[in-house]
Amino acid sequence: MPRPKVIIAKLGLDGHDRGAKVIARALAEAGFEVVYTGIRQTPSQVVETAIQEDAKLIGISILSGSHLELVGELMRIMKERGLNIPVLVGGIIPPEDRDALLKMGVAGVYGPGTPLREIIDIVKKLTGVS
Amino acid sequence: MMNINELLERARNWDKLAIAKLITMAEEGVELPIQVVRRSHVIGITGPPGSGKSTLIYTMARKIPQDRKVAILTIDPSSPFTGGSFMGNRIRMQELTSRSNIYIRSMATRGIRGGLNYATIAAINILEYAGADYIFLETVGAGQSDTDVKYVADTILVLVPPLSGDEIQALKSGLMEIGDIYVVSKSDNQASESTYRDLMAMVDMMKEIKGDEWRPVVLKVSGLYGYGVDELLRVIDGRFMELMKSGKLDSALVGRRVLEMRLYAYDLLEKGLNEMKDLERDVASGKLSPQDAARRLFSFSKPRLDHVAVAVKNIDDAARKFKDLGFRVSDPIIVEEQGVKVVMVYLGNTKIELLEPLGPETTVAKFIEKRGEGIHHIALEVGNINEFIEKVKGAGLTITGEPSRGAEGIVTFIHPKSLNGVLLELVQHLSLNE
Repeated sequence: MPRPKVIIAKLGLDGHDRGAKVIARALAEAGFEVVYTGIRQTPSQVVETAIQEDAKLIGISILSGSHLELVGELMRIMKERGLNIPVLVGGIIPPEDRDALLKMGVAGVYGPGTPLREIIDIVKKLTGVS
Repeated sequence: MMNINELLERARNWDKLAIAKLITMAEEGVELPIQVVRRSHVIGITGPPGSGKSTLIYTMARKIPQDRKVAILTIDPSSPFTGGSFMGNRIRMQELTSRSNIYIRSMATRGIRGGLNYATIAAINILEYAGADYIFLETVGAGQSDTDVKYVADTILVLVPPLSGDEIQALKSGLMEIGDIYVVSKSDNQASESTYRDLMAMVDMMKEIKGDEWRPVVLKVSGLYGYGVDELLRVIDGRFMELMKSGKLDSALVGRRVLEMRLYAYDLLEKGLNEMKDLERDVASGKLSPQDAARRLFSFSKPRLDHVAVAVKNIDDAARKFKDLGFRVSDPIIVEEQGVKVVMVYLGNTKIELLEPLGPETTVAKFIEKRGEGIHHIALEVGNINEFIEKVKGAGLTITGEPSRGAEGIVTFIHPKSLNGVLLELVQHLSLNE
């Protein structure tokens, strides 16, 4: 049985990681091997982590409001390093920024209140677990 | 997607992406063509959960000169229920993630044992091949299975946090026998002094019992503040020089290979446990005792010999002979479709199938009439009968008919005329609810 590895990371300067931990824990319960990076990660740290762990997906949590800059930087470094895996973004993302994130190549944006089931299903789909 | 040789080539140049892909392949059970030549100092770090293993590794790795390659393997437990794992050891090391000389990988225990697994050893082989100078192996930090680390690490650090007075007693049995360096962690805490004294006293006592061969070092460190870490690194490097000079570094490879064999056997066993549906069925129906079924698992790679069938005139008589020889023998069953009465004689991972014809017109009766009693056919168990039939056809052999349901699964035969006079049965066993 495949056990895709998933990275859950807190990008930028915000220390509120309860949501990220809940998601990480829920994905572990769903059978994934989940690496949680902890808070205050730079985009480059997250990309390096995903490379070294051979991760199949990156989940980012941002509550600070700097999602456009940080995710933009993340996507740029991923491209530069030849890392082509789906990125999901969660946290406080104003509706008007969703499209901008999707345009950057983000595979999905999930805000507060998204049922865990929905997140598990999308992660399964994106990592090829039936 | 790169092939294995390209990945190996790139891994040799410390290409982290290639190293990561190779480790994933090892985790998925791919055998990699790696000949290990010793060059890494493999340092096992063990100790109870929360004793400061990750933090100490972080501090050591940060202090190692950046022209030395450092690999960190950190093991987290898998859930025995969901198979998933929440891996948080990296959190304390993330600052090092972007350093070009450092590679960090989280691995889940997976599997049935909960300590090291086959993939851990494979990962160490890959990292040594890739040219790591130091490989830090952080164990789960619980229980006796952690003593496996002895066979793969050149140097073992056992962390003992302060205020673990009574736990030191508990450590005696397992961890207290394997350490090369005992480290009182969190030595910024005042209570560490008495833990240090307790440890020293115990090591002295153990030295008296074990003699000169075992001379562990006891140190106090604080991973968080860095106290004592420079000295710890000096002791580690000094040990490496000694191991190299004495030839122990090379001879340690033997232990690693034996452990690799053992852990691979556990992987195969687990795979076998998941695949041997016919054994589960036989246990459920009471045909096999749980113990007999478990013993049969020890050869499960397919195709394997399922049974040898012997045509007999009087099955009760034949069955009694085997019973007298001490074998477990099934009750006779009638299989109308094949025109036979059947008794199974259980032998380790295979069986003898006794066949008595039900009437003079049956194929087995004709067989006995023509050739006398004796071996009637040989049966092989295959994983997927339809795939195997394609191979049979590809080899130009004749199948007697479409696969059909037999006593224990789906069966068909290869005609003896196309196979040197041997009637070969192919069996695919079905699981309980199939």
